Amino acid sequence: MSAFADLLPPPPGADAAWLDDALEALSDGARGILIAADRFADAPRPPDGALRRLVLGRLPVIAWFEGELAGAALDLALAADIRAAGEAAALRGPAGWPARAALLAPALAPRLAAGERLGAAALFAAGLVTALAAPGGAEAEARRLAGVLRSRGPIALELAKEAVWRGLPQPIEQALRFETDLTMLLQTTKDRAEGVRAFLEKRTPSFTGE
Amino acid sequence: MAEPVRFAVDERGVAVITLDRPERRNAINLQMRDLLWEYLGAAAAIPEVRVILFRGEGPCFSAGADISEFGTAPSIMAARRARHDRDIWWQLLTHPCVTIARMHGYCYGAGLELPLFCDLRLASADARLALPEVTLAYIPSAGGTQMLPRIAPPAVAAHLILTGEPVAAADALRWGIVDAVFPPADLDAAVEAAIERALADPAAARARRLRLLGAADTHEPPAPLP
Repeated sequence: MSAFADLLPPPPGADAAWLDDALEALSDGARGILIAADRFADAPRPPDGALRRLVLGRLPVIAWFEGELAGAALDLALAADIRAAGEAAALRGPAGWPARAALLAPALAPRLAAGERLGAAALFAAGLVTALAAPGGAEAEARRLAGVLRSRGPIALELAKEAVWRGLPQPIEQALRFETDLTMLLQTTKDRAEGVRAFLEKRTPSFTGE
Repeated sequence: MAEPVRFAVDERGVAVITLDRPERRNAINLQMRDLLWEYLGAAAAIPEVRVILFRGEGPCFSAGADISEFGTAPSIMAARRARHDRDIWWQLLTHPCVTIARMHGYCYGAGLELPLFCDLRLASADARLALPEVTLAYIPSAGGTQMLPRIAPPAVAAHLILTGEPVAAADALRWGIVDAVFPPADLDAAVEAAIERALADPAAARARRLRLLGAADTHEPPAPLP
């Protein structure tokens, strides 16, 4: 089974299209995207549309960081589904993408917008970072989480991600029906049948992404 | 055989709905879903009932849906219709009573989703919460993907839903998934106190759910359709 792809920082002098180019270049078999956000301090900020591709695309995205993120590195981290950070890590506003910051952490968004530096403990308390590691441990935790996601059904992850980020802007009545319809769609997949069968047979499921 | 969901109303107007299938960790099967539908309807129809308490018999609240019944509907359309015809999640979200969940032990899958529709979630320190559906290649389908991101920070919801990994009661409290955590021995007294507060001021108890619903609790009947 294929692995998570590491998003590589653009070479010096790259233009803002670098993220679109990197996403186009992903292997078809990639099961997710890992972002070492500290390495993107000098990257040109990608356009909103490219960042949105990370949020609304099919693959789960995990970002990790140990230092202080600002600018493009901050926006990349905000685009991830899951953020892991070392205890000495921080985010410094403003984000280039205030709407995403407000969606993810309404309580912190005004402080980020004001240019404040928010330490890992505050980010974890607000749920903006959901995995907090001892200093130096963020990458290991991010890779552990990638391993967890790789063991899950890929279609289920695709629809779960869609359910969360596409469902959230909807009125709750529509959102609940949206979830039901995604569930019904999932019932047509081999992976879903395999998951139920494996549970009943008390064995580890083997998902094929079909 | 005794029914796997029990319903009792006390003299204060508190309906207690008990998941009572401890030998299966209160796994919610189709019969239980139908009983929940009936009892929620009954609670709404009895004017004296003002508060509903959900609890689980035995060592946990509920380990989730009964997977042994998955795929037994005659077709996907039939499964979809059954869900819309007996939509207990919408019934919960719009219920006139104050709804309180007493959470202990495993609160997994539907055993977390049901409390997410309640006005108040009170947990024992031994509670473990998870939406583990992706481990079997399905997704939370009793409202979890929509309710959790509206209750907890959305990134927390994404983490729980995508990884399927459990969180302890203390983490759940930090992120607002539950409203309070108590030592196991103190949970019943805390639930009792919450019931009294809800009886004293039901509008306050329901305010957060109604905001989520986008409705105002005016105690007035809705305007007739034009």
